[in-house]
Amino acid sequence: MMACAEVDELLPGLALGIATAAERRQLEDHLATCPNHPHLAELEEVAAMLPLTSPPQPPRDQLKHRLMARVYADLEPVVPRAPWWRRAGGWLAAAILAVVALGAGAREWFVSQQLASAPRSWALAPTGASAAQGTLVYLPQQGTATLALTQLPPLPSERVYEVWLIRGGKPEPAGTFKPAPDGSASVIVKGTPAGAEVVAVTEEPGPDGSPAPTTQPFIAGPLN
Amino acid sequence: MAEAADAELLTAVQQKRDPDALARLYDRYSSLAYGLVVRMVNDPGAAEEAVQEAFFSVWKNASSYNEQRGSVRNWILSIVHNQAIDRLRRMRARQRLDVQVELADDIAQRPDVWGEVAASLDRQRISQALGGLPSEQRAAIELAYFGGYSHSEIADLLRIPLGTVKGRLRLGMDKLRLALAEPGLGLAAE
Repeated sequence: MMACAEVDELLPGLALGIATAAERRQLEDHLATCPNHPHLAELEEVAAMLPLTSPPQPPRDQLKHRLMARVYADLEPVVPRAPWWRRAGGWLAAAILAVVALGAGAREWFVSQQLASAPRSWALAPTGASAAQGTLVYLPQQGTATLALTQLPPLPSERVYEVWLIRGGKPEPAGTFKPAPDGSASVIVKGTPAGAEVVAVTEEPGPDGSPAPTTQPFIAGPLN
Repeated sequence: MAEAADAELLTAVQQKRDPDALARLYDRYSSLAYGLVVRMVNDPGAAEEAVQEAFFSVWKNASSYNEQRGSVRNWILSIVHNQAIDRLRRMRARQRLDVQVELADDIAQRPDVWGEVAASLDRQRISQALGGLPSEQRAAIELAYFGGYSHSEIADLLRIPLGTVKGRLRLGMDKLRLALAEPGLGLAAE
């Protein structure tokens, strides 16, 4: 067992994240039973402030896209396997269908079932001079759609952006938002993109947006 | 949209698995995180990987945050720091790197994002406290924290005995601790 003096000598290194694996193990063993080193938490707090001395640098927008894509993929629920008697109905139906459709049709049916539950994404493009970029990701199993946007133009404080799903030629309001200071936004879309033809974003009066668009969309994408 | 506190956003990540809450924490702290890692690993590609891993780990492990051990910002930055150290060590295993031990003098004024505003007071205090250290203590701390060098590696680099490295780190860190242990900083004075 390490002596207290030896521990105190190594605590700054532990707080700074440079203790070797062996040092760390010995320190943890000692600290688990010894109450003489309460200042470790303060040393850790000091270490955690050191990053502030480096100039902040915004990472590229793509990094946020990649991170959020990973997060959404992680959100896909792990569907618990239903008990066999519940599954049997589905298999029975599939078996009957397979017989009826004589093979080829059944395969199509399976594929279409899989497609219906697979995540889908669509790209949005600017309609005019804007540099905005966006992606709509739809998770059918979860029933959620998220719109990730970057390079949005800044908004006057009393205005908001509003998302629209255009279904049967009619725009449905799908949520309002304000972009982050770096011009990005990640918005949970209200309503489902299934069956809609277009997703679009307009600038509207805040804080609640409009029931129908009052400006031309500056970014939009077809949902097919 | 009202500005939610960091802790509320983290709770939303943990309890509701709300991606939007994570995105907002990312918006607040990704510039700090990326600035730190770029300084450490000096490679934009590796820095992006480390930042992505760190924020994904925030997403997966939000429940391991303990508010008694410090602010959400500091917790996130310590995860980022660990990711950067892991990468540094792997990179060093392949090649010896020149570490940037430049003494951070005047920090460039940049347009503040929300998290930046909240960080600016802390930044001023830690920069002042670090600037007030004798240069040999400061160099030891910077080699450790930003360079990710172990005690014995710092001893080799500076050609000083191991005991001297430990002594410098200890004196320097204790001075920072006391300099920052003033009311309003969340550190207990002794």
